[in-house]
Amino acid sequence: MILTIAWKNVWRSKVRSLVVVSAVAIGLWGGITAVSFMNGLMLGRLNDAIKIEVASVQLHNAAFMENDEIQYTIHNVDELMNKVAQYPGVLAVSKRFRTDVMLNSNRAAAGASMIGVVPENEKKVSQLYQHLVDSNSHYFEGIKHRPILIGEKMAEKLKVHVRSKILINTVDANGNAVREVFRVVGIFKTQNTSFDEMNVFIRFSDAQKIFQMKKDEAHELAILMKKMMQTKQITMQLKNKYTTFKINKKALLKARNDSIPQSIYKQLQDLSSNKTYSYKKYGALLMQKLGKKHYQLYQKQLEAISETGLDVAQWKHISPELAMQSSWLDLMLYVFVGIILAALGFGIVNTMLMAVLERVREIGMLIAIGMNRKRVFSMIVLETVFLSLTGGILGIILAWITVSVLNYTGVNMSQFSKGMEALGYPSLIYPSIDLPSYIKITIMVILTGILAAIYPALHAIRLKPAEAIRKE
Amino acid sequence: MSIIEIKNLEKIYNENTDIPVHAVNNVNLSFEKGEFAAIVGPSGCGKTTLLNLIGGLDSPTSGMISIDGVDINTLSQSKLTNFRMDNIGFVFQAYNLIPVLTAKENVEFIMHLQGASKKDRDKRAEELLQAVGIDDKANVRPGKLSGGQQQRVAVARALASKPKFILADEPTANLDSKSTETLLSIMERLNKEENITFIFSTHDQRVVNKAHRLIKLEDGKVIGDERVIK
Repeated sequence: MILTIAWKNVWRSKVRSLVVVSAVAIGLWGGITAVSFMNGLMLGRLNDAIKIEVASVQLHNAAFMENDEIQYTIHNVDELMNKVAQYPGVLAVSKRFRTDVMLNSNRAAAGASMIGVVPENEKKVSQLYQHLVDSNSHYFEGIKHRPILIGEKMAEKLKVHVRSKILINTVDANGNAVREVFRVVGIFKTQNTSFDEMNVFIRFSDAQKIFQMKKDEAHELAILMKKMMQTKQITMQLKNKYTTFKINKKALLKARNDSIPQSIYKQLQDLSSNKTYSYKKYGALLMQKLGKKHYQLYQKQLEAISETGLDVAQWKHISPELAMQSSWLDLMLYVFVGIILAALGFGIVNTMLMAVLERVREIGMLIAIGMNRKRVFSMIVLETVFLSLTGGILGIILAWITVSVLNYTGVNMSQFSKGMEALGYPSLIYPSIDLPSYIKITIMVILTGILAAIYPALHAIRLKPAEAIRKE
Repeated sequence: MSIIEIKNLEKIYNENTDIPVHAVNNVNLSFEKGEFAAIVGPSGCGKTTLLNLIGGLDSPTSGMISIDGVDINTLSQSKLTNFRMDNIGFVFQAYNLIPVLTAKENVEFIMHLQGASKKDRDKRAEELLQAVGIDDKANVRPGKLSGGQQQRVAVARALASKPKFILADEPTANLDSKSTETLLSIMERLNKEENITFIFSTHDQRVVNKAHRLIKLEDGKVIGDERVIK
């Protein structure tokens, strides 16, 4: 019955309640829609980054991650590719060659990262082939000898166009100079101008010949997942399977003098045979040997003295700035909606205080006839929560409709495209917010209602029935 | 046996100021089960204060009020609230019904606080509304009832918790003659037939004429206490 009374009380002063409900609804609608824009912007960036730049997961020789020299390759890469492709959730796998080069045209020079790809495999992992801009551009077709794909920004820098020649300067695994002429087969333009400026693509087979690599060697295995949410799981599975560890004797000896105490050194010395351990077993072994406390205390030092086989990294680790932006955006949702709700909260406090002051005699009567103060408090809290939640749900529904429509149509921000592309963001944004965020926002609205109720409810329970009943 | 025992009761307002007000001054009274008593006196004589003290809505400066053997001044706030709910029925001058509830829901409300089942609440609320002659308005909200009708709902509400007695503070002050007559007849009948104890504060002669006991108050003191044989 208290629920009924609370709900009915909300609508005693319809105009006043509707003003608060509208304020909460409009505030949340605006807040959620704004956050959905940022979210859409971020997801667009993330989607591009994964589908064009980094893929979902990458495998490297662990040494290559420390020092990206050409000799640190993944062996038996074709067999590995086949095995990885069998994992559930894996959409496609592509092997890549990587090295840093200097590019020279007739008129300019620039540094870049040169990536060797197998075009037919790479097309399944990266959508770069859909981003060719020059009408004469082709994705490794049309030019048989040494084709190279470069970004629009790089083309501008080097002042070249499709079919122009580019001289590549670099070194091979033995440190010998390598000079090779390529012909521009295509020019691409993504939403990320720095990616366009920093990366050039050649055929994997050309890289193999030029750098005299073995047939089944590559620097990188790029994996694209069917669903983004599966990335973490597959990363762990691959890590457990392919990341092997052992103690690096040299590093351990060095660490004894610098960063780890003698006692730890002695315990690790027992482990420093040539035996390798899986990712899971290695961690468990170290924890068992050193104890949890020491393991956690010296985790960084332990990583430094551990030699790894294959490094498995998901996009978050390959591109930490993206991961940071993504988590920063999550935080923004709370900050943004929190600020709006805090401001609305004061309005709700004011409204509820007015409602309590108008009903002093009635509340006095309720206390007089036996409604204890806990129930009076609950009644006021419930009224406030109902008031906020009505506005909140209305605002969420409005926002959901708005976000759904905008997500379908997309929002063209092309007037800001230059600035946004420089930061790697797409100019066509698809605003979106996921279901858990809506749930979290609803909880925040309820909490705001509860917090906003405290002061008016305290005022109500402090009323003295004898005085309150006689109040005019 | 007395259901209410009042000894040396005092209530002083502004006690620590230059002009303390003795609203209730050394009152000694007792009430038996089934009384139909009126506390009478001019405005400001302390009738309402005395009624508030008996009802546990206010605390005395000194003295003792015992209800059914319980010294209500020794009870904590929450125990006193529960005690009021189970033992005392209130009828206020301004009816004080819950405006968002219907007449029946208003009567049911206190039973809900007591934890009665829906079936029991329904049954008793219907009986009580019938007893005060307003069962045809059971689903009407107070705003659409006349003053007399509202006060009858208030009486039904006061009876809902099966209290030991009912305190009615100027119950007819806002009513016309006809409504006053109807209300008093209902209360008199309930007193006679159900042996329900009523204690009024009033300066309405029509109530005085119906009372079986008249307690006269002046400047917070009891100056007369007489039983009227009807």
